[in-house]
Amino acid sequence: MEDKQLISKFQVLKGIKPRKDWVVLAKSEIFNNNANVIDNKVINKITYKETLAYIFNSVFNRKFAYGLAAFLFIVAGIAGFSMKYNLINDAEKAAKESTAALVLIKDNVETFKEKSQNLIDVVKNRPQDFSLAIKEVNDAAKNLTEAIEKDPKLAKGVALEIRDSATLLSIVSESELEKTSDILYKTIDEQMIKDLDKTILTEEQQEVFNEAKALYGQGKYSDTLEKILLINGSDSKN
Amino acid sequence: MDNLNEQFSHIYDQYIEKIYRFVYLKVNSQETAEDITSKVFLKGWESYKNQKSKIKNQRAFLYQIARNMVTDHYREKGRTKMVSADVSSQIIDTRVNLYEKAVLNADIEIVKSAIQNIKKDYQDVLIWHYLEDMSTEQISDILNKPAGTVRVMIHRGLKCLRDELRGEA
Repeated sequence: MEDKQLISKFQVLKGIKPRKDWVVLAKSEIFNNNANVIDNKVINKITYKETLAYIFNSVFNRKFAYGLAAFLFIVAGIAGFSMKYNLINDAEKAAKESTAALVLIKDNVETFKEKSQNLIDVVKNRPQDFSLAIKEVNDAAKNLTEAIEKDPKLAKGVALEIRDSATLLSIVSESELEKTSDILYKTIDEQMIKDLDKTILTEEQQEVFNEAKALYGQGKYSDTLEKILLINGSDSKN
Repeated sequence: MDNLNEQFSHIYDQYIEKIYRFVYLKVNSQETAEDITSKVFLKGWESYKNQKSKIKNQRAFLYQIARNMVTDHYREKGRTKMVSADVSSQIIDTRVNLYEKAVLNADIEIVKSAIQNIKKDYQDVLIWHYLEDMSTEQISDILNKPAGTVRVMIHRGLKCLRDELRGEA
């Protein structure tokens, strides 16, 4: 057998790939700081139909997390910008409101994390409760957004924490989320492009920004958002 | 910490298939391969968090962990061959013709069996070079051996594989 034939035969093994649902669960376990190895018996209990329902689009769900984080950044940005011109002169009143908002935000962050973790549990053990679990996560996210609007100073820290928690969402994907996310991404992209157009960027950032605008022009809103967040990420390092 | 999460998430996405395939071909069991691969990335993540600046080559780092864990696995369990009953589900194959599928699966079984019968070091270099498309220089980074030595190992590994396949036929 010639080498070429042999190598060609050997390369058939390139087709060996891990199970998609296992890949997703293993990733979530790692970032949950769970040192336990994935319980394969639990995974094996999931039927084929349920497995289809859990098809993980890592790109989509990471983008969903980015979308939520970016949305919160925008809310904070808009609220912060408007606050600059607010006439808040009563320091005592502001302090009281700030404390109340802080408590509210902490509660909302915890609720969001709790519902996200519940979703993980539902995926693994109670797939019949999936729709309700998704709704609860969405409601928690909405409440959190409203809470941050009241005190945008805390938005950045909270958004980062939510982005981490949102990796828990990487287990499942829902077509309904995909429809609404496209609208969300486009809206976020529009605002962020407007903001960045007024910002002084480094040469490297400008290059990434141009790529983002090109993607926006092609209707690739989630890709646009990823690029934009790269710019914002490098901003925070400066 | 958030940046580290993000960075390691990209690393995970980039290498999960490769590390899994590498481990699977050495242990020949889906369950064991998943178990070991999970541990590889858990360990990788712990190290990444604590010593990111010291890890020069992520790929080499992960493969080194994987090699060590496979060795530990064999040490603990003994070199018992476990045959995975669902090997066909491991292969992503777009063919619809059942005969072709059967031929493909038969080929895969033969090649898998052959690779598992050759020396461990040769297994590694063949997997890396021909399945993961790594260059001899990249492989030499993992093994910490000169590129020339790696080329010799690849050549010898192919010869052993050919001999095994002739024996299987």
